[in-house]
Amino acid sequence: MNEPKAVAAEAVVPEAVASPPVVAPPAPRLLPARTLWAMFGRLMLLQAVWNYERMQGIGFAHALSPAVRKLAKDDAEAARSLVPQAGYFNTHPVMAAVAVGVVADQLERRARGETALDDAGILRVKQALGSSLAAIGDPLFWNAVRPLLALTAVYGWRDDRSWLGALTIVAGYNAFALGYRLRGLFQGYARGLSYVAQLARRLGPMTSGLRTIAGVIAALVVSTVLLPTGGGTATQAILGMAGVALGLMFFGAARLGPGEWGLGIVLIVLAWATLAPGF
Amino acid sequence: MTTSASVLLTVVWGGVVAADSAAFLQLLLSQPFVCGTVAGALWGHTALGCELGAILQLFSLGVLPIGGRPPEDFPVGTVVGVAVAAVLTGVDPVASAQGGPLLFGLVAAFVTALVGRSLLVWLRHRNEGLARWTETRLAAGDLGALDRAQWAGAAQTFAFGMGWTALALSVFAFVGEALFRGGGVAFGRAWQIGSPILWGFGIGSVARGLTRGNRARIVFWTALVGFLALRLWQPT
Repeated sequence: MNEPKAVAAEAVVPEAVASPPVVAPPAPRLLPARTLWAMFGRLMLLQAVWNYERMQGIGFAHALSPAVRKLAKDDAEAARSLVPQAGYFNTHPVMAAVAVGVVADQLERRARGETALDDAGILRVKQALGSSLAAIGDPLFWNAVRPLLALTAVYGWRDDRSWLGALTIVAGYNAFALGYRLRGLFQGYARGLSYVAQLARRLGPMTSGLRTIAGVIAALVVSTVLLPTGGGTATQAILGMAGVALGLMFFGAARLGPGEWGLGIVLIVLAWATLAPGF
Repeated sequence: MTTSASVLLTVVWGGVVAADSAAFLQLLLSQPFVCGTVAGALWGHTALGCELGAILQLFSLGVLPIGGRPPEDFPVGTVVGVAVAAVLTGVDPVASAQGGPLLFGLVAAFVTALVGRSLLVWLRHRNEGLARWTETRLAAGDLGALDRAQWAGAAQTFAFGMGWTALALSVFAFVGEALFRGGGVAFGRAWQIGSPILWGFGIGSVARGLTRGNRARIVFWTALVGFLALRLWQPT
């Protein structure tokens, strides 16, 4: 790689985020689309070696390796320059693509001899990106998209006995997640840190909107539990109502996970059915 | 499909969903409704798979795979629970007609998910050794070590999923058959009582998570009142 003009993270990040890019002839990019596609493929294995020490660190270095290989003189240099990248990193797996793109952009700037972050600066930016991207990705994917699609599937089963919801979950989530993974990688590489700054502004309202829709579908599912399609007995409706009230009031309040709650309810009901068979 | 083919495919499917839930692809095949439906289809009981998968889906929505929190292993739990319920269907016709195998399938699923959580922690600690080895090899200039480590991690998770599915399926099928041959009517009665409570608790817990904030709460309760009114007044 060329000798980098390394600068500290604090000196570059605020300026890059806050100010518009200076109008100048664009420098030729060193990473071809094929390399970015190779990085995209490797992002699918981001969590293969997930562990408590480095979390996604090894996966991050693996995803970045096609870019580093392209910018380095040989494999040995590429391998050694990836050691710092294999350290601690953790974020939402879809949004990790943005961080990989941003770091690839910084490494390319260094290879071109432009102003760029040094290794310590990149590590600090990676940590900051991990937290901020998780703060965007976790609510969007785990708390909005996933419940929305899963509740749609569950409603389809409750109301229509349709298994097609399984396809809805897989197709719907992947259209969204693969799309964002691809866009995040390419835009993170093309626009660097300035891309991250506008992500929260853009995705925040979308997350809120999707959660509201998920809440409406949750209400739809609750209505099928209280008044089952095709009719149900009054006892079933009362038991369903008791379950809904229990879940609404106590889930998360006690220090029990969903598995413990589920097993507890099943065992209590089983004991009840065994000891009071006349019910 | 023969029983042995169903068992074999179920074990392989357990490995696939274990890998999908974290290590490889993350296509959400590991969501209980998806993996339960497929597991049910492998045994010729798609409807049973959907029913258990849907209930477990609601419970699993309370699990957020965030940070270092070890999540319950709902993917493998669902595959095992559905397969066990399918095995028990027909062992005791009365209990089966009442849904007894479904209740026992849920017991199997929840226990497998809870025990699986400790196994996931163990697996993640094992990965620490693999990560340290990779870092050492990278420092020595071996770029290929990254590829080898990543594929080894994914293969390890797949093998773990298959092994855990096979073990849990054997244990619960054995215990379940013994219980149902001795009369599984209590399970059938328990399903009649427990099914609405479980559905209610599952969706109640999801609704609790989705109704944080006044606006979300107002939208939810307004929608619920509207949907209940529509269901009450819709022509039968």
